[in-house]
Amino acid sequence: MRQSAKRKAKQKKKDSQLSKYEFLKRPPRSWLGFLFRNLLIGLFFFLLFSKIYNSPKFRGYPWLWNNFIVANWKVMEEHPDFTFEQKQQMKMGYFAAYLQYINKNTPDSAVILMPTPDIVNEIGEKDKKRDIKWLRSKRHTTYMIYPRKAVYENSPRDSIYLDKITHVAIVGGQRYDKLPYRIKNRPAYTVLPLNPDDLK
Amino acid sequence: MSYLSILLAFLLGFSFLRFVAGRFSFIEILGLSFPVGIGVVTFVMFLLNILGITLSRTNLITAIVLITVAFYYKLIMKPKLIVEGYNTISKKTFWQVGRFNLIWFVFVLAVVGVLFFVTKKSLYTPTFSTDSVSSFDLYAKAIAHEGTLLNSLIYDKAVGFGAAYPPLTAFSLSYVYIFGFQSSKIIPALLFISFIVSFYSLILKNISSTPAIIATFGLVVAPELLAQSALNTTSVPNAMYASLGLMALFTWYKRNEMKYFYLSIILLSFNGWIRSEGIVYILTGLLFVFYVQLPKRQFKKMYLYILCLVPFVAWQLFLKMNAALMEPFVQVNISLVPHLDPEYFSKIIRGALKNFFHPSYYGITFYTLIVVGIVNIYGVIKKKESFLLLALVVLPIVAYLILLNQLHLKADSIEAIMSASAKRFFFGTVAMIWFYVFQIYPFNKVFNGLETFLSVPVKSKGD
Repeated sequence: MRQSAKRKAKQKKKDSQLSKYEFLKRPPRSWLGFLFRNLLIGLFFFLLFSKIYNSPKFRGYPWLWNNFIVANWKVMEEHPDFTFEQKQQMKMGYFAAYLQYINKNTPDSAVILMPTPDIVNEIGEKDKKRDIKWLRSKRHTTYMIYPRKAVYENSPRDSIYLDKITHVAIVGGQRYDKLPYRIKNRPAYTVLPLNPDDLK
Repeated sequence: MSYLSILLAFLLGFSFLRFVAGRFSFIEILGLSFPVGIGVVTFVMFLLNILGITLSRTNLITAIVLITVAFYYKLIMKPKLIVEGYNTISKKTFWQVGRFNLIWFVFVLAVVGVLFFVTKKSLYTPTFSTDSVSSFDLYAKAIAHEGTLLNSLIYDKAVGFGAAYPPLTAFSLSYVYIFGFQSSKIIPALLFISFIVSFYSLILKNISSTPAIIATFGLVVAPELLAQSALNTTSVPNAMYASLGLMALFTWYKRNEMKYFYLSIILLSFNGWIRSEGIVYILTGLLFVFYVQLPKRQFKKMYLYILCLVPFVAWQLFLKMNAALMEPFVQVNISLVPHLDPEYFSKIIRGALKNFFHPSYYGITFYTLIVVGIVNIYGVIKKKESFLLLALVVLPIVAYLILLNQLHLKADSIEAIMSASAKRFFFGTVAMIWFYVFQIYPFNKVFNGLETFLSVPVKSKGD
């Protein structure tokens, strides 16, 4: 008898405790309550996220914010009026500038003799200011000058185009020997037609 | 003219979804129309190419307009359907994007902010990632200029391995070049926006809006995924099609609405149309459908689901038919004989684990999976729904690891692949994990309660 009374009292206490927290399962009654509840949970999320953000286990998040979002945003804000060509130069340096020059000075059908990777390496060693390393890559070069063809002497696949070359890419003042004519002004970086009649 | 191409792809996607699957809500239409549309556009481009029709602006406009009109044929013939459509959009539920509270709103702002930044970055920065410059974007330029897949770059072998990838990426990039865009970066930008909007719209069908937006935020700030989202490569779009396809499949199972079943077929088809290893997600989907349908003896759905394989098979046939030209671009071969080398397989597992818990790649994603998985062990054993959901997360990982074990690599070692490339293989899983974590007990209970706790004040009858 006494035991069942105890149990009942316990249950009553439990029920009263439950009803005490029942309001948590209902929407707030006022906008003030709404604001309080949202700010409370917001604070919880803020503390949780700052803990995660500052943990060395998840250093990808600070990287994302500082290096990906903020740094890129700054660049975009610094140069909002850059043209497509200028943006390419910003990303790929002199390599882009030089190939854009080739695009402007050759027809779409041009077949261009490019410097071999050895020459590009040699010039890269001497001229550190101009980053032209991607000229070694036929794909990178083709990407920039397509539909023009980039031909590399040392590539067996390109041998079929060697007799179809229309232009020679002059890089670091080299490759003038590939032209069947002589010219007085010899710029270090230019593109020249194989046929002297096509000289502008 | 150039933006017309985007609108055409969007309209085609919308009409295709309406025709094949059914009516969706506003936010689902907003998110899904472009990725579905561009998928259909690329498949149409492939068919035109097979038929020997040049991929020119005029031919594409003609084909897309004709197909869009064909999808609307039923609507044109039965004006009653237009009235029904009007009734649908006049319902409040059609426009609903979530239940308002301040937490939800702050997360929405954060997600929109990230999407705005990625779009701005994507459109500002020209293509420069090596994979894109040497493969996808270069190939796209040639397709646009020469109007065919087998163009001079293929004959000259002047393009990278990406040429042998299923052609959704190359075709979609070439599509915008054909219509006069100077850069193809609008494609990754639109696909990423669509990914996030669709993810939110599909997760919203399964859980309440606050956990839905928190999960979306968790996905959008996964560091490596976000960093890759502004590049015009295959990884993020593949993750999009794959994860959304599996999410749609689970939504079909949970809500028993056939439109999500058809949506899943469409999305998983395009997942196999962008990367061949998308097959791991298709196999997961097939296993899921077999497991669910086999006891009911409903074979029709199982046969229907096999349609997912059509684009994948079409591309493999194309590679075989043009093997002399395309073989040099095939980066790997798959061995069908089991590769039973425990040391080799342990290298793959070690590499994968290193990626999962790398401090810079996926943030808290895989840690969350572990915690939630442990909490939910009982639920997985007792509840079929929890078990199936976990299977959709875990099976693609297992299948990926087995696939990696079966590859004959031509260009790289497995160690190099696991340390350099593999971080991009698990983006689909990252999305599936965020889909999973808030759906299972006790987190679903807690967040459902939280939704009410945070909601706007309701006037009681007595007031």
